[in-house]
Amino acid sequence: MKKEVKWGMVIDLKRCVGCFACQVACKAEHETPLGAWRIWVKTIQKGTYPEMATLSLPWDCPYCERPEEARYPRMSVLFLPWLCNHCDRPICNTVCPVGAAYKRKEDGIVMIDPHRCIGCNYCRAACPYNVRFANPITGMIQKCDFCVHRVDSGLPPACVEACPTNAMVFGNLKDPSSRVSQLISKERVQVLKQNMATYPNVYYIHLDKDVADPLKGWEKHYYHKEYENL
Amino acid sequence: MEIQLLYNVFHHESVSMLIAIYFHIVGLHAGCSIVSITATLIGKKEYKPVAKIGAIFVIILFSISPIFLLTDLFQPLRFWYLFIHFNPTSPLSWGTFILCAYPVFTGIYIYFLFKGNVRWSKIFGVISLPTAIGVHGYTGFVLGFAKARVLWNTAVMPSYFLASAMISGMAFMLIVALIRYRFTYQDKPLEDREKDLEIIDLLSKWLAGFMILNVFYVFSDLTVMYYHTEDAFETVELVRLGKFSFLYIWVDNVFGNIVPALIIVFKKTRRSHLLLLIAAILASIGVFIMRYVMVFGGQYVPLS
Repeated sequence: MKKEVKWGMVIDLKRCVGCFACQVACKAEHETPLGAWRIWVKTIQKGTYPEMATLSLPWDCPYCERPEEARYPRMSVLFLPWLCNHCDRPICNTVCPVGAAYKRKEDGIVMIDPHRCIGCNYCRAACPYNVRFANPITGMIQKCDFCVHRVDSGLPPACVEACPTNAMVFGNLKDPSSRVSQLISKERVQVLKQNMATYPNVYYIHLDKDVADPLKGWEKHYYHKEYENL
Repeated sequence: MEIQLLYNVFHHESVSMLIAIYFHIVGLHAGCSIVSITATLIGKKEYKPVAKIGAIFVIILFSISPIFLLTDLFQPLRFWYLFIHFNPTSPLSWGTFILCAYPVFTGIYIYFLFKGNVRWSKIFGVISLPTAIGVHGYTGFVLGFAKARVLWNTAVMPSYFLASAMISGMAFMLIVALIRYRFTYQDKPLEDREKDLEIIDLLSKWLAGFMILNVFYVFSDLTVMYYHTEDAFETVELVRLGKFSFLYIWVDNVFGNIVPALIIVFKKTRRSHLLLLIAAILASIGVFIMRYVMVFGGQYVPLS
């Protein structure tokens, strides 16, 4: 019997305004502990120093450690909601020693069985997207599960419902008439870390390479000095 | 163009210091038991002390290694789930069953070894050798399957771990052999002294061989990764120039592998027991640093 439902998500990053409503709604829905997030909105600022503004005073921005950084108008702030991609070939399921991590047959949601998880953290070490966390209170590994309790009742996930700009669209990827299928067919979509061969099911429209790159904005970039002046 | 990270979430590290120490201990006892079994299988009587020294430490070490595994689990009382559920694609699952078979077969081998029954110790040595290789090889596969971490996701990881395990096991046995020689040589006749010296010579030569193999693995792994994807390149730079460079390049590879190998290769320095002791200690420290850098350096590069 062929599967009829495969849940997926399309996030239009041009509509995402960085309000963090999805992050907050998810936290409220699942009461995840401090420091752990099932979904978060990664934010970067990129830009260049305009050649005209050489005499201005340093900008007193609390985020900028180096004040002579990117200046308006040659800059942009980019947002990227980051959540479990519910991959078609999840490495977390492959490496779980007790089989607590599994992909639901009927709709493709990657789940964690809390009655079986022993907390060995192997799935956390293997997940390329770093979306799994250890709950310090229950001692279990948890992650985004597409609000499976809401989806089973016919509601969309909490983050999708909270999004004020309808940037997040949730639906059945196997149904050609659903909005997600239409968006994937018509728009220029990307996924995160395609080279990892995990075949994720969360698609992004207007994804910028700098916000998706985990190494950008990291504290140290060793190659920068060498290759900068080429 | 400048890029400033304004907000991101970094979930804390998944593999902790307890697991790094566990890798080191498993490497030690796997190395000791492989050396001990090989010495028995070769069959020469002179190698018996080698086999016996290795065997004692194997028992002590494999008794304490599961403690590190249990304390690292977030649900330690559920550890027995590992025995009732088998996931054929998970190296941790394979390792659970290898870790069950290994003490049984090695324990029987050691019993026959100390009883003096050559035939049965050889038979159980043959049965126990794959489990001894497996008990440390599986940790290499555990790291190798985690494709998210570029320092770990390499084909040489199981062999690299095994080569390091052999170095640490042999260095440990060399230290014990040297100390034993130092305290017993005055009471022994000349032929026994010669035999002890031969054993020390043999152990140190094999140690040098495995060190050269280790350096070859490091060289081939790092140079190929240097021209691989961006994370691989940044990881190599992290290890070569960044936070882990002093520990990995200098303490592990130069002082832990190259310098001891040079001490052992040249006959003049090999004759001095003090230098051999220093070489073995440096090698042991180097192997522990390798486990530390693998575990923490591998998790240092951000994923999100």
